[in-house]
Amino acid sequence: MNAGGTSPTRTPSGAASSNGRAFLSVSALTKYFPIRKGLFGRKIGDVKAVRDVSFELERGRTLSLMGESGCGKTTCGLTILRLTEPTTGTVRIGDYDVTSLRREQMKAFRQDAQMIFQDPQEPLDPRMNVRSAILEPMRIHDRLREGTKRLAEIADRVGFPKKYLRRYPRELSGGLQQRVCLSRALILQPSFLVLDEPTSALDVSVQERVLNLLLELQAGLELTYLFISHDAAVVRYLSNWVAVMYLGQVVEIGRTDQVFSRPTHPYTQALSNAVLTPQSRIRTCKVVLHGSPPSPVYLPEGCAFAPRCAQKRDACGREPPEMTEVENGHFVRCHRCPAEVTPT
Amino acid sequence: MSERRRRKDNLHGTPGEHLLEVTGLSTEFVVYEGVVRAVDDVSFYVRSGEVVGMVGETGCGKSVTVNSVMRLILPPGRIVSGEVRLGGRDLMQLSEAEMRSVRGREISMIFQKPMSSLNPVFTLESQLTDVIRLHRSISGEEARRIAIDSLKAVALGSPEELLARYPFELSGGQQQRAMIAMALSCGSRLLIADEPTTALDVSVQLQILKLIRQIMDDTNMSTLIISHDMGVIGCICDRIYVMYASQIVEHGPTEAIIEHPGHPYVIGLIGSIPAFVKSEARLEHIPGEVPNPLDPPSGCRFHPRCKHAIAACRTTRPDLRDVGPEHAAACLRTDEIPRTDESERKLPC
Repeated sequence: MNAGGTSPTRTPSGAASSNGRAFLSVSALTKYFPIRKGLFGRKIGDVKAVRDVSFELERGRTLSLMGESGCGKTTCGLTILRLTEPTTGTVRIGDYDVTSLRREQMKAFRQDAQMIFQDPQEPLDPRMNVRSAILEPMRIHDRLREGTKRLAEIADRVGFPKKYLRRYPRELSGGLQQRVCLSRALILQPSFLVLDEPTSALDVSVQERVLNLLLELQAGLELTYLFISHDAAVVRYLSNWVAVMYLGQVVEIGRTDQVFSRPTHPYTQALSNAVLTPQSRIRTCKVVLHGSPPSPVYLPEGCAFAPRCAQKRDACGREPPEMTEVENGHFVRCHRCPAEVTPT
Repeated sequence: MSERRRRKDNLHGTPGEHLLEVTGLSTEFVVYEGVVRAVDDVSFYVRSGEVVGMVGETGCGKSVTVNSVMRLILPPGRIVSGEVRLGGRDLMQLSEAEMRSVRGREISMIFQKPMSSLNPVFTLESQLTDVIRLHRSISGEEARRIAIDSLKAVALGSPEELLARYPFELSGGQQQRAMIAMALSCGSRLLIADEPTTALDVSVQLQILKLIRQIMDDTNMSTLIISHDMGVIGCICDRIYVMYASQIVEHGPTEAIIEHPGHPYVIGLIGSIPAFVKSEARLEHIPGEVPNPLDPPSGCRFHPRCKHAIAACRTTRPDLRDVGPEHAAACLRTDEIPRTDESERKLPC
């Protein structure tokens, strides 16, 4: 396992559970999308969406993948659920060895691991009412009778008014639509949820309620969340562990308080600097991060962040940095670490 | 002060004077189920050189308000009443032809998704020079020079090369910069930015907001920024208007609104921002749902969700009352309700 540096003994976000086995374990996960050209589909390159991502997470906890658009966080979530096939690497969720599941084993796995998407309207069939939409996954998995019984309980849990069960998605607000999507996932009684920006399409006052609902559901049902977001404030509010991604790699990972109170990778520092609060003043804000990330097809040599890094040195342009542990459970992929850490 | 700066000052009016003044603006949409009054008796102003923010949740009427100012409301919508004065001239009284010369020339507008405002089959050069030559009778050569100048003003490197590109060859940040360049190229006095950074990443958002503020400070242009994000509005604006259910419920200088909001809705709105509360604290809660625009509640529109509501709130529509210098809130009980406690909040970084 590469993530802990050259020694394979430690994994970021170690999260040793009581039985010594993490609930979710991702190791050296890589996803390349080939770029083909011409009549014979000659491969001319790869979009390197996810590169060598490793982490572990114990049951009932939340790990957030944070980063800007195009950093590979969504692809990482999709690959973990095998909604897209990984190029290399292994994923284990609970008792499932996800990456080696055969086709007929997938159906059982799908009931245990579900995904919630950013736009709550997209996954809902506009011609299917809420009741059928929530029962659809149960019908697919031949558990319809059980589903009908549990429908009311699920609606209660996610705070969906039962009088709206006969309505159609377009008649509901974004917050209610997201609750329908949550019901569809939860009625299967999964133990693991990938939440891909579940609140970024919602207004702040609605977002706050969905976030609190997610926390309640997690506490009540012992759910494990992989939360994907670009919003540092939301990540900080919801998660126990944070992994910051840049160009397909995890550049910093640690407990939420570690990453946010002592951001160590220059990219993490720049990101937390860019969070605007109503009290920030744009005249005094310093733009630390210029330009936009390079193409994931032609990666820079050495550290992927070096071309935009204000603290770069000679080595950064030559060699890709390894993960280094800067404090217990807090790993950073930067040549400055651990020798010259400047905590902010 | 440079020659250029002085010229701009004359063109854009004396700082402090009301450049845009909107009074009693109402806009309705006739739909099958009835009439939706999306903007209800809204009044506001923007001074010369000022950056003013309008903040509110989805559907509160903020975009319809600025589209009404630009007279971009199409049937079944119509502007029912109100005055929109730009430098003393009432835009509502202009003919459509006159209005077209105002759009782009005197007021420019940029939108949330720059990609959907730019035409994918034309190069930046043809799109930028088109706008410039539409409003000024100049040669193509000259228009190209102005286009290059305005691309330089938005800090886009190698503008000559960029002009030959198509919009899809630019990143989201570059596209939005190009839109701002287009807005600047005609020397308009007022920029209306409708959610200018919502589609962009946080690091790019900071660059764009910084750029807008810097251009405004340099040129004495005025800006009206629409956003649902209190963080964006708070950091860049001099004054803020908060809209709820088609009405303005509070307005005032940025510090006053953020530190001492007077309306219970605004207090709740600020309390529900994750960046704003302690990491251990639960986010505050505004109970209930946004009211149905077809049948808004009587009296104060916020009363069904307000924990401070009394009987009078159900019957009386509160007027905007002064609660501080230039700071007014539309709440009957604004003097009695406790303002947010300072110690409960802290900065995240």
